[in-house]
Amino acid sequence: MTRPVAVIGTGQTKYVSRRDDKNVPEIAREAGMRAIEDAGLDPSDIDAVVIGSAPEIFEGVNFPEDWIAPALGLCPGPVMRIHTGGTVGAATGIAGFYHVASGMFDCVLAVAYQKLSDGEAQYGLSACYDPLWDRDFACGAPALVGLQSRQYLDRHAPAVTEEHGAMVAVKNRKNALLNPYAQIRREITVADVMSSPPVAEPLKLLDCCPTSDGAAAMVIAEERKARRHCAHPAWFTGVGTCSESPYVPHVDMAYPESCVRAAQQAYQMAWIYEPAKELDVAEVYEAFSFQELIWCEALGLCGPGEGGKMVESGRTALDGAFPVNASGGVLSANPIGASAMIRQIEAAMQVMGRAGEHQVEGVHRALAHSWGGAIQFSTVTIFADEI
Amino acid sequence: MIDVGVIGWAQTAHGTLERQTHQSLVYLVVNEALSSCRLSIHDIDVVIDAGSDFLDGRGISTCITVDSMGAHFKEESKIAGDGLLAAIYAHMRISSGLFSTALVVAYGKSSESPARSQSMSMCEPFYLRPLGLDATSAAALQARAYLHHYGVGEEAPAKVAVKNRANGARNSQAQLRAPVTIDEVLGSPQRVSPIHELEEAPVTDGACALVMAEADIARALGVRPAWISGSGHAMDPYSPGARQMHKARPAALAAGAAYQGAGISDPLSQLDLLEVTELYAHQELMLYEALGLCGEGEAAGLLDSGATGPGGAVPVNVSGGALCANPVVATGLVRLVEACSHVTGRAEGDRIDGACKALAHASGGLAMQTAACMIVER
Amino acid sequence: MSLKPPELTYLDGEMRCDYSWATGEVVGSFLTALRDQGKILAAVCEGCGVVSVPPTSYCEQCCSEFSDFKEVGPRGVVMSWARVADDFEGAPVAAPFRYVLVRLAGADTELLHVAPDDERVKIGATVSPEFKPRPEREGAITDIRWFVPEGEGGGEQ
Repeated sequence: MTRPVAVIGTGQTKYVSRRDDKNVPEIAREAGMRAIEDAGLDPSDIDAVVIGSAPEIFEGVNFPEDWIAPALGLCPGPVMRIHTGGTVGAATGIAGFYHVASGMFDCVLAVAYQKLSDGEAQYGLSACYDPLWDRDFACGAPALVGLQSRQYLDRHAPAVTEEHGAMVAVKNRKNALLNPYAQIRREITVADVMSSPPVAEPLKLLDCCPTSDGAAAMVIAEERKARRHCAHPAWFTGVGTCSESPYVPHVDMAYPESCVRAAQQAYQMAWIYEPAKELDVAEVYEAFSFQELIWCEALGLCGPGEGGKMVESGRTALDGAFPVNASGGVLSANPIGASAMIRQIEAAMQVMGRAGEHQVEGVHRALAHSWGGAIQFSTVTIFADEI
Repeated sequence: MIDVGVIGWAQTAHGTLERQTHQSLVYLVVNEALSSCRLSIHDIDVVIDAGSDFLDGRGISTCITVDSMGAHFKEESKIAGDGLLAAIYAHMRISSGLFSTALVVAYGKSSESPARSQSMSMCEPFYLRPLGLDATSAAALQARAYLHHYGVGEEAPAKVAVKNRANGARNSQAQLRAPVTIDEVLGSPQRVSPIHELEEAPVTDGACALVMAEADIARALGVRPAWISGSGHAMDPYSPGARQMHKARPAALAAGAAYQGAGISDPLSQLDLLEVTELYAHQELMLYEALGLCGEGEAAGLLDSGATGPGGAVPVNVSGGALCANPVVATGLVRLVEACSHVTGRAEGDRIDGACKALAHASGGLAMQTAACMIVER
Repeated sequence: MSLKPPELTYLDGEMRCDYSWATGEVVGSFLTALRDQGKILAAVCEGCGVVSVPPTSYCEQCCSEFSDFKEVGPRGVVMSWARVADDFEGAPVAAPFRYVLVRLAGADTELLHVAPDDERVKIGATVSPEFKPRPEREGAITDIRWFVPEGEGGGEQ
């Protein structure tokens, strides 16, 4: 029988394209201390730290946890760094979950950060490609997701169109107006998106996420501590991750198997049979607009090819039947290493009733999703208001 | 707490492996680890791996070794740090009750890039990097602080090198298999004093994998597991000047947590064997003290007594340690594999008969800023 | 069909990236003081009172916040040293030189820096910073060229 584990506090920094006022450890500390305070605790209550970030080349320091973790208040103490690419924020939260679920620790601080402005983000992304096969013509993330989006649109045309991607961008940018942490808080229209400059077809500028500096953190605790310190903990009820081989021609990017399997794992653990009915909200990692539709389908929140209809009907709007990305999503803020944890935090906050102006009424179960690598890593985390 | 045992393992023959790629090294070692416990990859519930982007020269290093490590369509996560930390995380996964078996993989090809630039890039950009500090310079400051503080002569680290190189000569997997004399060690050049070249771990390519399983599975397979009885990990402050350079405090804390789990109050008498990560010879002396084998400043005496030699009461680094093979992020996992081999009676060559309880230690950061320990027993 | 073993077993490459690291206020102030005033500032911790140099905005000993700056040194005592024999890319000065950990007057932690390869640079020796001339300073830790020994200095090896 797995030990009950919950998120009892969260912290975020305001996401911006450049934080000139703080260095990398200070940004991580800002989120970490906020989470501890939100949990009503003191740094001395933390038993272990799990820290995560995306490729080290973004900030240019090797084994950066050695430099950064001492700013989080635990040294000397147990620290572990997770690095799984784009999913790392969530993989870090998940590692925090296992630190406590294992019985080895009772109260863990999980922190994820990224300071993209210190280095060259696109160079860092291109350095993920294999030097033997594809680095010579690598062009960052938009190229790969452009391929993915094209595959998706072609497969489901005419039920899904480029305009549906634009509708996702419009919805999420509108939601961001109610999220004080979001970087981009400017309403746009479908016409704005459709006429924005092309980046990697079918992706246009307004279909794409920004690059951001920022950090996010969660305090994760076992049951006794959770009930003592938190009125409405967000219990981990389903956790699933799945990795796939990086050989792109084998990956069905329009309906990624790793996402389907991670979801199955999490649903099984959470005893969820009909996710679209049994979940109330979802936070998915839509670095590019079409991805929101792709992930919703692979997660079983709607059928294959129904993503377009889903967003067009308003079902996933903030006031819809099943809000997706009430926070504004990755389209509104993308500190890469932290983005997946932000999805977990936003999902947890919805369950805890702490999402402020973008709080959805009556949330009992929330899902957080992330993807990474060559569209080969997926995580799904499910939070509930009771166990 | 769920009982978890290490049931299978493998390591490559370490060296400069020109004809091996990261993928081929990983594939090789995972297959051997699985065969050693008669499991197939389909029996593995989760894969936890350790790797380094800087070392591999690519972002999200393990994204291209996912398939060669058998993690295709599996639960998988990567630790950015030593493989022993990956083993600790894998242990957590099984202890949660949600997984029954785990595969742990670590690999590194240090020969592919200048070792110096790997450690220089660990320096933060404001106070350390402009000074060109690297792993050896930081370790040298530590070495001198330790030797001076306790009045230990330079021949003591040299004796560690002699002991471990002699041990490595009997280990078919070690990279360096030629013994050295104390005169050779003390006569070798000092790139950064007081450390002699023959007191530094070599540049190594290698990989290591192990399989762990919860008790029912281990028993059903009929293999004798190395039961995990305790573990711990710890990190010191980052600034070298904010640390006590003459002590290995993170190792003491990590071992303390492991000893608590394993019910060990007197390591010298209760442990039968240790495998520690001594990237520099003087660090093994510091570790004798930090791991509680002797009191402060007494390590040289313990070494001279022969207690930590292969025939002694508590042999340390029978494998030859990191001084004979240092496949960077895999080094600590290799220590664990060596420890497991002895307690299960499956060690080749220099087997320590009757070994029941062993401690494996891994080191990270500049001058042992971080440490991880795991205790395994019969 | 037999395959001829490839002659090519290595692909050479390089990863080189430009950075502009935000220092944050405390580190920034320290570097500015080095450049503009030739002063070495330490951080006093709000919680435990430890005086740390080089300064950070958080205390690595107790996790509390930075409370104030305190000028330390300029002289200090060598607590450890290590001699670098050969030149290398990224070295702060020409080899041979020494790395030193210096306990500056008034500080509770040591500053890591460099010193000339001088026999007087040994544990217990008193050293003081030699700053680069003002026009050469950039607001970097290397605005101090190195720490030089004073007189015949006592102390053990």
